[in-house]
Amino acid sequence: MKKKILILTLILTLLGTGVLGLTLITLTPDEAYEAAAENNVQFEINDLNLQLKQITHEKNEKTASLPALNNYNGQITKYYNPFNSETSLVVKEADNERAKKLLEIDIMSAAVALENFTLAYNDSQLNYDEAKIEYTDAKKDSLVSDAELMQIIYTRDSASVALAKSELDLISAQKKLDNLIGKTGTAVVLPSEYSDPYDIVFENVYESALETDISIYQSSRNAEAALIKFEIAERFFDEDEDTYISALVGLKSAELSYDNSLLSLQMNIYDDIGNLKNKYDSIALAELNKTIKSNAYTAAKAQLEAGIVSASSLESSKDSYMSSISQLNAKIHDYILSSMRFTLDYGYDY
Amino acid sequence: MKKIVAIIIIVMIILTPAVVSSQDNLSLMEEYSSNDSILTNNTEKYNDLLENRDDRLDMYEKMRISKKNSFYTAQSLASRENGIAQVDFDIENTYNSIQSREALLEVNFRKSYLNLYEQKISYEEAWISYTKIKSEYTAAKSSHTAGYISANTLLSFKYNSNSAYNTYLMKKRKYESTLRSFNFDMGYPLDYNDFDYVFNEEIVEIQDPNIYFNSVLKNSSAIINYEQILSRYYVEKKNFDIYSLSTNISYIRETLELLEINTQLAKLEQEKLRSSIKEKIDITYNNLLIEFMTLALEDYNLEILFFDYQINKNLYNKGYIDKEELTESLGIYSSAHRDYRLSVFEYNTNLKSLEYDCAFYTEESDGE
Repeated sequence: MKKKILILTLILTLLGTGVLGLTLITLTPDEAYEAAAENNVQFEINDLNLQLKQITHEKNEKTASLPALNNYNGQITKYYNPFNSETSLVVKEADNERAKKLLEIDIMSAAVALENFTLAYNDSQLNYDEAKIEYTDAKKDSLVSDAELMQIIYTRDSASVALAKSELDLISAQKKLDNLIGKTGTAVVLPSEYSDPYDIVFENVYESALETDISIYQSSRNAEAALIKFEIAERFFDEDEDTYISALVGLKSAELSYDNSLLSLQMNIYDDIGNLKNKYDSIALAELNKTIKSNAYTAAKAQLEAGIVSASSLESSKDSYMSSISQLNAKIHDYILSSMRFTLDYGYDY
Repeated sequence: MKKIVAIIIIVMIILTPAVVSSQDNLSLMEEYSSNDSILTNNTEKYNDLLENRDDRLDMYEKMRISKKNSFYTAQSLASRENGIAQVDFDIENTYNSIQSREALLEVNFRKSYLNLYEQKISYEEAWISYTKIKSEYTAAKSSHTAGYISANTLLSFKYNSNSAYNTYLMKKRKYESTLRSFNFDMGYPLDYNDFDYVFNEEIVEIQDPNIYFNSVLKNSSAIINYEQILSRYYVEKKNFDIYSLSTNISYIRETLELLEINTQLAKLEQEKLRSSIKEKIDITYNNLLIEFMTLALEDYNLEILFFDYQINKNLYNKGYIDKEELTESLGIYSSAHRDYRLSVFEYNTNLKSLEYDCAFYTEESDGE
């Protein structure tokens, strides 16, 4: 008996936290982003790192503007170093911009997780309430043996532990969203509109990605930098000297790396379009499932009125229908999140 | 009745293998740790640093101060001051490394020891299962000879028997592989297997999460590392301030600018680390809380199983059930009891893991 009291005490302690169900503020995605961006530590870190890159680049440019020695190291300092620091600077700027867009996705992802944990918590609460009723009924029933009662208590306590777990998950999800936004008790309006991925044209995505994908830019600039280095090495070293050979290997490697990055990009686009289609198709399936469950629920209501089925059977149909709605929403939100990532990765909106 | 008492005594012996249990595990754990080269190297490094502390301090105190210009003077004064501070930082950092390594080794030891025992049980149970299935096959052969079952049905019995034997062999080999790996870490001969396997610990209660968080802030080497970085920057700033350096000179302006940015960066990175640690502690703490509640539930399940066994004993005494059913009931209770003890050991290990992640060292686990 001591252990049962222990479990219940813990549950009550948890319930005392008062975090649940207290949505103090509901924000649109834009409002949530603005609030999150205002005091974002990572953004501040990114800005400072960008400043460091700017200082390094300015220093390299300044050095490059001075008369250079006509030897290998002098020419590297004049042409190769500023070119590279400019690449680093542009990449850092783009990374920072990407981090800002990623924050929008992180917020949405946390908001979706919060919604899913809320639904899971409600289910656990329902199970626990049922287990409690079963226990209360069993206690009054003289036909229930001690052994059966112990089993019923065990079921009730298991449900209470499951409820506590759901509650902690829900509190964590709420904290995660609150920490991102920088406010307490937040909720974000989840989008419900989405586009058809079957309209996406691969060539258009690829073209857009070539212009916007920062890793492609970086590979291309690395190949150009390797060419600059090789041309300098060519002027000062013979073909059998280490520096020449090393610069040539560097050039070939950078060119290969650029070609591979183009191929990787194509493969990733094909894969991601495929994934979007899979997720979009699963929405259609979930919609069909919802229709089936809705029909079954409507039929069960009529059957109850006709006295063919019991009230518990109607409850079960209702639960299935509600669960199918949750599943559909989860599929829609999962697709929308993937769609947002697709747009961010390839600069292609559809 | 005498046989039942004998079974209970055997079960009790299995469940309570040794009286001086915790001491046994402790000495095994010490042997496990003593075989770790990283811990040995860190301990040697720590002793060297302590021994050479005065010499290193002396070296930094005698460091030459540049008189070339005020910028170089400020820089070399800061280097000297930071060098002196670094002597004790190195000692502190190495001590922290020793503590966290010892803590990691203890957690790893407990996980490996538990895993080894679980695999031993798994293969022993597979053997029991095989012998049972094999006896069914033997009986089936007699039935086939007597013409009660077909050749194909007999073949199914043979398949089940061979399949159970393969499972037993696979589990045995897996156990032996884990045993060799454990012995390697212990520095024992690879085939040594004379372990007591003691898992009769009390449940350790989890503390308030703020205690762990405060411990991280105070003792974590990752947080301390940022404090040391910041203290070095502050020393540089202080010396630059004393010499009131001209910001008209570009390399001075650039140095001061970099110093300011790097100071801000270290502060923000430290803040970010704090909040990520807090988040991690919260998640681990919640998981442990659920684990703790599940243990209470498992304990209650034991009460139910014991109650079932008592009922069965009564039924057996009245002749309503046979001895096999009674033994089975005791077997279910006994294995649940063993699993409960293993769960307690696992929970305590996970709690220790959280404590060590938070640099929370109790007196017992303190490396000193």
